[in-house]
Amino acid sequence: MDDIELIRASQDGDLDSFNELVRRHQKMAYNLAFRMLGDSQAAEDATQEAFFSAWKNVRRFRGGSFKAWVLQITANACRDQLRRLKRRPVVPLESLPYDPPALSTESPEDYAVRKDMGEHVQRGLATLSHEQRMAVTLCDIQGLSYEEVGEVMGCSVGTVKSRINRGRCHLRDYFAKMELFPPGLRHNK
Amino acid sequence: MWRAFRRSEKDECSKARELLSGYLDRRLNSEEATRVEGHLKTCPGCREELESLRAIVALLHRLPEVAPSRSFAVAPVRPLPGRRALPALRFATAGVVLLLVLAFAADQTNQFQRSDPSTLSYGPAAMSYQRSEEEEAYWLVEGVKNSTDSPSGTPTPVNLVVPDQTDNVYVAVSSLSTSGIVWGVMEAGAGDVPQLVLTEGEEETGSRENTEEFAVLSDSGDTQGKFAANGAAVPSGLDSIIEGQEGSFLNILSSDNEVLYSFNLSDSRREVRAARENAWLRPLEYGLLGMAVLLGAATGALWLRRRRARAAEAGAGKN
Repeated sequence: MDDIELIRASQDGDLDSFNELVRRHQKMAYNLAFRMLGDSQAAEDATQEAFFSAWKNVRRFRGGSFKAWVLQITANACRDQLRRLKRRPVVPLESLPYDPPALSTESPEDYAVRKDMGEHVQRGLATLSHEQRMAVTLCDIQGLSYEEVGEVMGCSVGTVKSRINRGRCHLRDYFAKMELFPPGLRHNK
Repeated sequence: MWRAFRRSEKDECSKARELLSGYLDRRLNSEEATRVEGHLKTCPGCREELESLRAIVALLHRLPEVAPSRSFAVAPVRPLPGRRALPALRFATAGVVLLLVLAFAADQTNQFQRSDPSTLSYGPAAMSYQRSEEEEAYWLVEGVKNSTDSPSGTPTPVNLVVPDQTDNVYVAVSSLSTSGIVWGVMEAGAGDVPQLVLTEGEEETGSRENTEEFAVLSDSGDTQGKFAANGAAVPSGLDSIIEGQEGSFLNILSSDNEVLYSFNLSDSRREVRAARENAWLRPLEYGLLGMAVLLGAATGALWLRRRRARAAEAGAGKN
């Protein structure tokens, strides 16, 4: 069964079909939430909220990219979470460690370096504005095209381009400031 | 000249840097791409900038996907129990409680009490009757009021009513045809002799201002304890006098010695009027109380069930 059939069945009220769609897209939605919120618990809450909202509103889905639609709902859930976290901050975004799953092919040293780098990226992302962080995450981490990012974020491709450019530059500045670039690329601003 | 050249070079760099991200993603049109490439050939700073951005993008591309620790499948939503019943129950409970409060308040303020004529009791039996606080006992003496304008006129029946109190009570002389009403105060006189002071007041307003005052002195030890006016009446010094006559008569005279009121004390009788509650009041109160308790319990139980169902649903949604 492809996504379109599953969507149609979901629109007829078939929860199993919808949950199959959830199973297919949950990793993508969760990754966006995790990169946006930097906290696995908050990301889980936002993702659950997003899928619950998607199920309630699945009848309103009028075709197009289901992936973009789900990401759009997740993005909104993340914005809500960020507003809530801003109101009652629980854990600062920068100080949230994440242990990536170890690959069987890498040595413990490589794993440590990768984990370290992953944490730095997360901290760097936390220095960006919400919209820049979302654009960079969707484009560079999740591999969406500019058009798809625009659809998810509800803005023009020009705006997406500018947000991605500024986001990358900020991230680059953060890495330069933390002296995290390889020696050949040390870039002092 | 050199400064102008530097400024234009700086402008070129900032313009190129705006485009570097798009250049990396191959999202520039051919004209922009040519301009950027031309600039990069001559500007080592922007080349370094491009490389650092490329490194950042590569780093971001290499980031592993984060795996969620649970599934986000949506749990089937069962309609919460009592979705319709709860508001109705709440409304009903509130209504019954309100009725109960009203009934109780009305009961407390004796709104539902009535004086049942059938409970009247007369004479000696009533005298020894121990009345409760809600009941009312009084002496009733029948008499007449003579018309002062025409002595030959027909006397009007009048009642002297003395509530069964020991002192400082008001007595009323009711008359069907007179416009005035006579008020009196029974006071404990010297040597435990009851003293009845009557004043005539306005029937409409009950005002006792500017009224003619009568005084009655009676010695005790006669008929039924309260009235003994035989020969004991003494003018009080006011214009009006009371005159005792043969037999147990209480006569109230005008200053011209005309008999205004005449009461035959030997006919006096005691009445007990029981202020009774309506028979339906207690069942109503208890019924309402029972209903309020039942409805309250049902509402509470339903509310708890809903809360549990909601908590279970939230739990299922998370796992």
